[in-house]
Amino acid sequence: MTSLIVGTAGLNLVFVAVGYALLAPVIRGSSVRGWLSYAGVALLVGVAVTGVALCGAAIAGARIGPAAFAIVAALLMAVGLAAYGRLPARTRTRLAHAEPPAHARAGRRLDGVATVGCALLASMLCVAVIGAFRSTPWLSDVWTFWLPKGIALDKNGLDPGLWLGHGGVVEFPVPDYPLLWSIVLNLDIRFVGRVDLRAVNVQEAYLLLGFAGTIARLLWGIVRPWILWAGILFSLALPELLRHAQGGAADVPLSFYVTAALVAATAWLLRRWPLALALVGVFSAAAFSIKSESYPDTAIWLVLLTAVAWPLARRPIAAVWGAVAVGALSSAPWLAWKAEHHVANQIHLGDLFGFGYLRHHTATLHGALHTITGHFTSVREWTFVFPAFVLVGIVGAVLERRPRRRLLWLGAPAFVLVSWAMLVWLFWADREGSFRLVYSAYRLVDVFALISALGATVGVELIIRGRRSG
Amino acid sequence: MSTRDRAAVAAIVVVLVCIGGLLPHVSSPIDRLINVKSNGAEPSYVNLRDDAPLRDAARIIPNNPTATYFLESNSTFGLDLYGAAVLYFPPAREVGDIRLAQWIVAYGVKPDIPATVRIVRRDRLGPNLVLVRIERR
Repeated sequence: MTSLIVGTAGLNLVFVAVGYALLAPVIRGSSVRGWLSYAGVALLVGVAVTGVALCGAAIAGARIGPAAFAIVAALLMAVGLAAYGRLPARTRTRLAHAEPPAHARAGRRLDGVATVGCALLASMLCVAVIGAFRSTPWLSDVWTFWLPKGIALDKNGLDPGLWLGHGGVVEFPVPDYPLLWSIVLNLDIRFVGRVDLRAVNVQEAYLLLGFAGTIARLLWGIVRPWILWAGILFSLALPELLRHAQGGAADVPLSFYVTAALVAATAWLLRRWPLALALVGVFSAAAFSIKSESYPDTAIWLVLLTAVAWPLARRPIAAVWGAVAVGALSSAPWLAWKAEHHVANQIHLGDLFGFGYLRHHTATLHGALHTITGHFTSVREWTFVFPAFVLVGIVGAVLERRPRRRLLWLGAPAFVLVSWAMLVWLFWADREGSFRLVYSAYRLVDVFALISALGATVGVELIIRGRRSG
Repeated sequence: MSTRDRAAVAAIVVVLVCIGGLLPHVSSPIDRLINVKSNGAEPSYVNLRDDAPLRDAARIIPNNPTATYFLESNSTFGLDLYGAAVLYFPPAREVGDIRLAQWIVAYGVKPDIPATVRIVRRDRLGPNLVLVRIERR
């Protein structure tokens, strides 16, 4: 157990150090408390940037073990620290986040809600971390391909035989998945010193902490504390999310990064905060390097955000597209490697848009409708996140006095509807849809549930703000 | 947040974590989250129960990317054996054809050795696992 604690903590401290080094030029001049408030962001940024860089190194032919990690981490820290000294003061000021105004005290009762919400969240996270040290992932994908791919990248490199079955070698399942999550899991194992599957759950628990800290940092000053803490608690205490985090599913880090990118985009749009815009690119890059599902997930939030906010903020929305495009560019080496080695995607684009194929494949459609609807409406799995988000959107639209902004509110029900429809469509078009509906559909909901829960949180804040200002 | 608020947060956290940690049966969600029946380092196999022999086999199979092994099992242990092999045996690689293999890892079944190969070494590692080094005749 000692090696598990020390190893995983050591690795994540390096990630945090890399993240802080890269953030340093921008948050320079903040108070100690200001620096500490970026700890969650630093962890997510450290994992994202180091992971994406190591993916590139793996594709270039390097073996990805502790030595490669040490070199890449040192280089990234050097870049951050060099920029710390050299970035012109004017640029720093433009990038930096002006300290948010202190929230006016909301009254004893609401301050009490904030205090209890924050305490419950901290307690739940403590219990989740302790639980992670005591549990091994229940999902077999973790030990049949996610972690083994990372071990292979360390010991064999990106060997086409292992990914494609050349030369009689048995290939890994799902060869089209990107490499970031496998690389991170292998680093955990190497830092622990032996194959200890509990390290997977510990890594997910640390990312859970980092995600909570990131959301709190990004929304601080936008959402008042009592709504913020209650909202983050509501988002992270989802029974199914916590179950998946103990399963070791890659969908959990994927949902953290996709959601964090959207929250960063929201912070950029509401505060014109350039650091938040940069984080959209960093978090999107990580999402694209974790799982192929990141493409439709990101497309949904990006297209809907554009549809509802374009009339109000054209240039900022264009900047969000630019940041996501930069994030997508980081996955170009992997896409090029896949194309060069003819690695097929799990779902064929031709099937998705093939009317004839879909018409003759309706048996899966019935199953998809039933299963996906079941996940979206199950109180036991996702409490009330989807109805809550829809309700907040409708209430916001009804109470909105400015007709141009009414469309913005309808983004909430549209998001739930479109994400539900997209999942139904994906499983309908999937040739192995019947199998995957049983064994993986439940995990693809994670990202939409997290976005809905945090969307409802921001929505409640905007409703209250609108009522007060109106 | 004032000092008093921070103290209140800390106090509530300590109390709740103590309740969760010391009284694990206080409620089933905390039971699940804290994983009352804690697990070990090995994968959560479906049927396989003895992980140690597989780690022993990994010490015998050469630490070399040119080493190859072939897995023999039945449907009960197939997924478990595959998972353990890809975790413990790299850089050795699994082959789908026994004629390409240097090692046979048989779990829960008697290894089926083709007539075209000869046995160089045979290790019984635990009640269910047999590791065989083979060479082509």
